[in-house]
Amino acid sequence: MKYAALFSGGKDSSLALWKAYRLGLDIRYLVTVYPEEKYSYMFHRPNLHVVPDLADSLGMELVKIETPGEKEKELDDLKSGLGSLDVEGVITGAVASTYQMSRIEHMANELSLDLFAPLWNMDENELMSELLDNSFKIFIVSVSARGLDERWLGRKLNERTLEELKKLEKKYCINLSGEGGEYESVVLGGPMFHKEFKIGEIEKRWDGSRGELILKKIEVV
Amino acid sequence: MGRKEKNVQKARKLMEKPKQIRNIGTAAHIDHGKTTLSDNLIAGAGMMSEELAGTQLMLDFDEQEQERGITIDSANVSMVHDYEGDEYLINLIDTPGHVDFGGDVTRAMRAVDGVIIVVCAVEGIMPQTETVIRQALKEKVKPILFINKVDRLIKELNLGPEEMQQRFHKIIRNVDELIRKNSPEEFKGEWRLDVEGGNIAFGSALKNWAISFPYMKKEGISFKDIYAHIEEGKGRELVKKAPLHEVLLNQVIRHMPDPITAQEYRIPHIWRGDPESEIGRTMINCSEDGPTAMMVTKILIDEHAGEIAVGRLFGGKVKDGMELHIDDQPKKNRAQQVSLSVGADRIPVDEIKAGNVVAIGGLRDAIAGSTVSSIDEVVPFEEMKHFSEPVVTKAVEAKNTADLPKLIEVLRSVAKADPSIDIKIDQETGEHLISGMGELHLEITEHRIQEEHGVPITSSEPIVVYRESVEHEGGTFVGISPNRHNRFFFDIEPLEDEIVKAIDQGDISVHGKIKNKNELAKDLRELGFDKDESKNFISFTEDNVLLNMTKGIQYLNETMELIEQGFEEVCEEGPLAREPCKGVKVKLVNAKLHEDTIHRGPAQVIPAVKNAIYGAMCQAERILLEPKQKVFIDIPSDLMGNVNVEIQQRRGDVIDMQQEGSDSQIVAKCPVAEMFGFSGDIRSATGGKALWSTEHAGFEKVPNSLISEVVREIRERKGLKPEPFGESHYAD
Repeated sequence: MKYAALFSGGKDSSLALWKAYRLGLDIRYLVTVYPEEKYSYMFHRPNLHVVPDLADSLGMELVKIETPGEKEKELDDLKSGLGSLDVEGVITGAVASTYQMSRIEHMANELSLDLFAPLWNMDENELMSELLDNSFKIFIVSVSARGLDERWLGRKLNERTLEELKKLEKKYCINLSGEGGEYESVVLGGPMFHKEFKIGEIEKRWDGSRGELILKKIEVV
Repeated sequence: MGRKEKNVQKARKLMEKPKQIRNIGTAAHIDHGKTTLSDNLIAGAGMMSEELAGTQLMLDFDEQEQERGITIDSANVSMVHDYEGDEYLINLIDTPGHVDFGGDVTRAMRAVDGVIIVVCAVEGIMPQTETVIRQALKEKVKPILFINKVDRLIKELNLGPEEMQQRFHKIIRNVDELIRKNSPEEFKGEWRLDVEGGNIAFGSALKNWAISFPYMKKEGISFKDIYAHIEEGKGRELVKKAPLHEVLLNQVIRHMPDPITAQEYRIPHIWRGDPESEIGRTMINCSEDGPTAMMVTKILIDEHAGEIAVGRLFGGKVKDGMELHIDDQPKKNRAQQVSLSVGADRIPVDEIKAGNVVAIGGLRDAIAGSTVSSIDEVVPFEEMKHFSEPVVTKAVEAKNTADLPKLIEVLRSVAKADPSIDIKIDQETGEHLISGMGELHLEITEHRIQEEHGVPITSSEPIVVYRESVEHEGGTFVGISPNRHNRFFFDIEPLEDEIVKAIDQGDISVHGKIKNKNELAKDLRELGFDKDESKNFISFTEDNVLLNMTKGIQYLNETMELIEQGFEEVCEEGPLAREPCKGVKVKLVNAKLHEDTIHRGPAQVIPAVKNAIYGAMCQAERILLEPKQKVFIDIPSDLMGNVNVEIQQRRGDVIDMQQEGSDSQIVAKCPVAEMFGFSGDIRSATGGKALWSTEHAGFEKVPNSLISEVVREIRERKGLKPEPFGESHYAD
């Protein structure tokens, strides 16, 4: 069975992809949605421009789907994009958002696609450990939650930062894996990467309660 | 056996007979002679040597109290008095007159059933006289009147007998009017001053005589006679004819209720549990058979015995070794050294029964205000209403780092003993904050820490505690969650003055669970809310209120707790200078929420709500409120000019000025911030001839011309950037 993997370049879609790969699924495409709307309910946005490089390093064909990104309408765009591909299944990195999951499920049903969601309802602690244990190179590229300040932008996720996140989880009830939109990440290296990247030129944007790090350039290590 | 020892023996017997017990207090404006009165009553009753009375101020046993000549702690003492062939045990609680210690007065009132209102004949009714009368009646404590310092009318003011009589009538009329106005419904008309009935006395506590109108009639003494006695310096004869303790204690026994009578109507008023429950019935009947129920009014620190809890035993009994529950504390405490108090001494007793005032050691978890019982989960006594709140703060540090842990202990213990002291402990910096009612209150607390507890400290200059509020109604402001998926729309306006007042006075209780929402809605409507507002009440944080004016918004109910938390955080730290908010009405008018719970957790909702409220406060124009004090100054008239200058220099307003012979009284209102150092300045400005006292006068707006300067000072002190954020900071 041929699969397409929904891919944003963040940690969850990267981990889901890898889990599928290890199980021997036949993954043909990485599918990335490019919403115009800045704050999509469904899709990640910052730094999508590095996704082609990542896909290249993963040795996968990338399918770009552009959408104005209005609520609900963005799904239609994804649906028609997926529908045109020669696949029988779709892989998602959804973990805890019922909103995302129920919509993807619905779409997969309509397209008669098999849905593979290896991270669904996974415990955040486990998820984070699995990422670190398998040497995913994860950087935080946006934060939007009380307790996460500007200093978090560009930090690498490792044992130390994880401990800090755990403290914030206790103090401010943030979700450890950022499922409530607390932070977003980009993966610049890991088990499936043929070549890894490092952060080159950057730009930080901060507006008081949230901010993002724009990767102007990533460089092959 | 000396007289005192005999009396101690009698007291031990009498405490078994509630009908022969009276629990009373004295209350007055500062310096009207309350403590001298108490001392002479005690001496007269044979609890201290008669010669010392009048000078020793036995109840002021705190070293500082004696130094300063004012009462800081309310002390308590038991004494025995003969009346018409029977002996009675009178438990007397002396309350402080200085308003800085107002919390103590309120608590003392709860423990007593009757109060002697002491009014100085020269000064007449003073603001605090009014306050204490109101407090007493609110607790259903029955008042009688003693007009003190009568000899000064003649010797210093040179009044004639006619004028003297007129003055008495004026005081009696005024006090009676206050009683009439504030009496509980059931006692309106009954609790009145009655010249013929004998619940009024006049005299001199210092010179140890007192006389009542019926007594004058009975003994055939006229005003002229009294006048002549004083004028001719025959005070001694008056003492023989009409000894203070005889006359006053007779009145106390005749006019004040015994605990059995009093508890029947006071318990349902001061305790909100079920009156039909076992403990309810025990207290209402003042019965010794049944669960123990006591309210702690004070914690004394004894050098040897440690913390001693003093309070009124309303039901059951207490004996050594008893395991007692302290309202919300998880562990039981074991009672030790159960005793009666006689001044600074405590007389150990085997067992003490309902209706008495008792001192108990070993109740480590108790603080002033605790409910103590032999059974678990007793409904606590109604939260006591404070009429003043801490307005001045100092940062204190241990001089020697080795004392750090001890200082924390000591601060906790100081706060336990005096709940009107607020402490904030900062383990990290070691700089702790203590807040109190005024500069004097803090000075005394510091003295206690250093001298009584032996921890040398350094302290900062006193800092005034401000409040933040808004000027007028503002427009709707929207706050967006960091993940952009949730929006909250708020309107802000000043809370109605009437409601703020009702909360500050304790007429509306804002702590703990709201018992009856409908009743609260009705109260709020009567005080100025419209129907919608009163229906949509969500919660209070001090005297700020959160209303939910929205209808039918999905997921809002499950988010409300987080919205309340955001509201609370704003109320604790306002937008101008992170000072607490006061009198702000916060209305949620709309909300848009993400349907996924995970996208509207605390880290999203709380900052969005806070930004929305802060922003809306900007639109409603942020203002700063400062605490004010009324200052009462008595001075020789020729020095009035000097005093006026002092007041002007302190942004003060003179509210009232009165001249009586060569004496004048000035009443002014000044910002607390300007009152630091007043003590020394007024002394030098008047050559030490000014007598003064202060009273908390609430919060008022800082003049516009000063706001930004004050805000900057506070912010810099707190290590914030000097300018507060503008509205745009809280927007999108």
